[in-house]
Amino acid sequence: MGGRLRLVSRLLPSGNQRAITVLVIGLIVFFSLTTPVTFVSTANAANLLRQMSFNAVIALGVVVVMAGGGLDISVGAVMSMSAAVVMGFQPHGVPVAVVMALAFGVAVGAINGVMVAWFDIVPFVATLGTMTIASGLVHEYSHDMPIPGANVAFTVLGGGNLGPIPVPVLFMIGLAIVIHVTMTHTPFGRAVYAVGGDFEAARLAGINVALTRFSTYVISGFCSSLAGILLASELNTSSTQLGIDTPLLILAAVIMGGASLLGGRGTAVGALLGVLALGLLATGLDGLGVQTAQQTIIRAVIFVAIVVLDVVSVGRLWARLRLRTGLSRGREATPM
Amino acid sequence: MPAPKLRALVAVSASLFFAIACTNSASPTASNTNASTGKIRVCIVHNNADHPSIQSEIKGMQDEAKFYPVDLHMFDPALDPQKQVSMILDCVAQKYDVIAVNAVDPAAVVPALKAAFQAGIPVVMDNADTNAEGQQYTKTYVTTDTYAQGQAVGDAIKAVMPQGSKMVVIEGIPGQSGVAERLNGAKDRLSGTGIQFLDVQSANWDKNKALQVMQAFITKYPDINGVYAEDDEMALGALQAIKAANKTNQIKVFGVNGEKAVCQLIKDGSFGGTALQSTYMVGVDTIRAAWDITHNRIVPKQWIVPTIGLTKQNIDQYQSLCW
Repeated sequence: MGGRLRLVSRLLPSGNQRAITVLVIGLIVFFSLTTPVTFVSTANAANLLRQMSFNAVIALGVVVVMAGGGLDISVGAVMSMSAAVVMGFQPHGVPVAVVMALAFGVAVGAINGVMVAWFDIVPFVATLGTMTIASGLVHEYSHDMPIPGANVAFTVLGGGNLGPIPVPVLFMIGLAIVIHVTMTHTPFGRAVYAVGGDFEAARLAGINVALTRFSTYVISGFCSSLAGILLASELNTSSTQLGIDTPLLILAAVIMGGASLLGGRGTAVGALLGVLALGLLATGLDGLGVQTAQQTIIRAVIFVAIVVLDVVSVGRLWARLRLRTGLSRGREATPM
Repeated sequence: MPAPKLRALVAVSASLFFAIACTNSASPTASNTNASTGKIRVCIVHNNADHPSIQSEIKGMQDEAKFYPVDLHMFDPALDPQKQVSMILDCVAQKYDVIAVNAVDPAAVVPALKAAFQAGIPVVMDNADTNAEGQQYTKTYVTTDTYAQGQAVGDAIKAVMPQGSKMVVIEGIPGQSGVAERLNGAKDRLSGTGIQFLDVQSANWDKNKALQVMQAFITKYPDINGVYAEDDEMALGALQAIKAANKTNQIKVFGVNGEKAVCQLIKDGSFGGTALQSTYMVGVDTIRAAWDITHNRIVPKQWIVPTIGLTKQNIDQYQSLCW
C-alpha cells in the first residue's frame, strides 16, 4: 500500500508547471482518441498553433511582469490599439506602421512602469487606468469603425506560412527563446525573479528594484503591441471588439503555467504550456461539438483545479495521509 | 518527476502528435458526411448568441433541422472577431460539410472564409454578410432585407411623428452589414418630410450601452421628440433612459426586430413602431440553404426574408409574428 501511495504521489505532482504539463499531454491524448479524424491532422495542428500564437506572444510579456511581482491588465487594450495604429498608418508604409504600433505598446508599458515602479501605484490600479485610456483611444482613433488593410504584403506577418509553419508561430517561438534565455541566463532575468520574490531583499542585494520593475512593464507593452500587429495582419483589419477578454484569458494561462500573483515565479515555457492548454481545450471541445457556454465552464473548472494544485501541495497531502494511516513501512501510526 | 524529464516528455508527445498529424495529412479533405446515415454536419458560428434576435434565429435553425438529417454544432464568439475567425478555422480543420457564419466584422472574417473555400467547404452567410472580397468565397447570404427594414421604420416614423420632428439615431456596430442600410432606408423614406436625424451614435447592439447613449442624447438635445434605435434591444434601453428622465410624453421610440415585449409596447402606445425582422425565418432558411448546397441545388446569391413595418395601426394583425 505504501508503494502504491509513493507511485500515486509521483503521478500526482505538486507545482503548477508539472500539473500543466500533465494536462497538456492528457488533452492531446484525450482529443486524439475521441476525435481522431478531425483533431489529429496537419490542418488542425497548424490552425491551433496559429491561433495560440497571438495569445502566446502576450503571455510571454505578462509572465515577465508577474515574475517581477507585478500585474498587467492593459494587455488587451494595448493589443487592440496597436492593431488600429498599424492599420491606420499603413498608407505611410508597412515599416512605419509597425514601428508606430510597437512604439505605442512600449510607451504604454513605460507609463505603467513609471506608475508602478516610482509612484508605487498598485499594479492592478495602474494598468486598469492605462487599459481604460487605451480602450477609449481605440474608439476615438478608429471612429468606431474597423480600419481595413491598405497593403496585401502586410498580411503575411499574421496570415502567411513559411513552408508548413504559420509565420506568427515563428514569431512566438523566437520570442519564447529570447524571453527564456533572458529570464534564465542573464543578470536581468535573475533580478526579475529576485525582485518578484522579495523587493526589500532584492534592494539590499544591490538590485535596482524600480528599474527592474519598470523594464518588465516595457517588455509586456512591447509583446502586447507585437500581438496586435500580428493579429491585425491575420484579420487584415482592426476592430474595437478585439482584446476585450484577453487579460483574463492570458492571466489564466500564465498562472496555469506556473506564474504566481505573488511574484517570483513563472517561465516562458510555462506560459506557452498554459496558452497551449487553453488552445487545445478550445479546439478539442469545438471538435466534440461542446457549446461555447459549456466550454467556458469547463475552462474555468480546469483553471481552478490547476490553481488549487498550486496552493495545496499534493505531495504534502499524501505524506500526511501516510502518517495518519500508518502506511509508512515498519512504523506505528503517529497521532496527529 | 524532475521538470527537465517532464519537458522531454512533452517534447516527445508533441513530436508524436505532429508525426501522427503528418501521416494523417494524406487523408482526403472531402467532407466528413456519415455515409451510412446520410447526415450532414453543419457548423454554425454566430456573432452573439446572447442577443434575442440570434436566439430566435437559433430556434428557427433547430426547428428546421428536425426535417433534415443534419447535425448542428453551434459556436458563439460573443462579438469577438478573432474568436470568430478561430472558430471558423476550427470548423474547416474539422471538415464540416457546411459552415454558416453570422459575421462579427465583414472584413476580419475573410481569411477564414477563404480557408473554407480552399478546403472545399461551402459557406452560408446568415444575418450579417462579409464584404465584397469575402463574398467570392461564399455560396449565399440569408438575410432579412435591412434596407427594407429601414424603409419600414421610416414609414412608421412618417405615420406617427409630426412634420419637422427632431430625432436621434442609435446604431449597431459600425461597419457591420445592415447597419448603414437600416439608417439609409429610413433616411430615404423621410426625405422631404422635414423630420431630421440630429445625431447618430453607436451602442454596439447593447441595451445598457444604448441607455447610456440615450442619456447623453437627452442631455445634449433637450428638445428631441424621437429616437430610432436600429434594434429593439437598444430601443428598450433608450426607453429606460427616457422613462428615467420623465420624457415618455415627449420622446417616441422606434426600433427594429419585432420582439414580443416591443410589440406589446406598440399596442399600449408607449412605443412608436418597429420593423419585423424574422430572424426565426433566417434560421430556417439557413438550414434549407445548407441542405440545398450539399445536394447540388441552385441557391440564390442572396436569400431574402421579407419584412413588415409595425405600428399601432396594424399591430393587432401581425402581433402573433413577434418573437
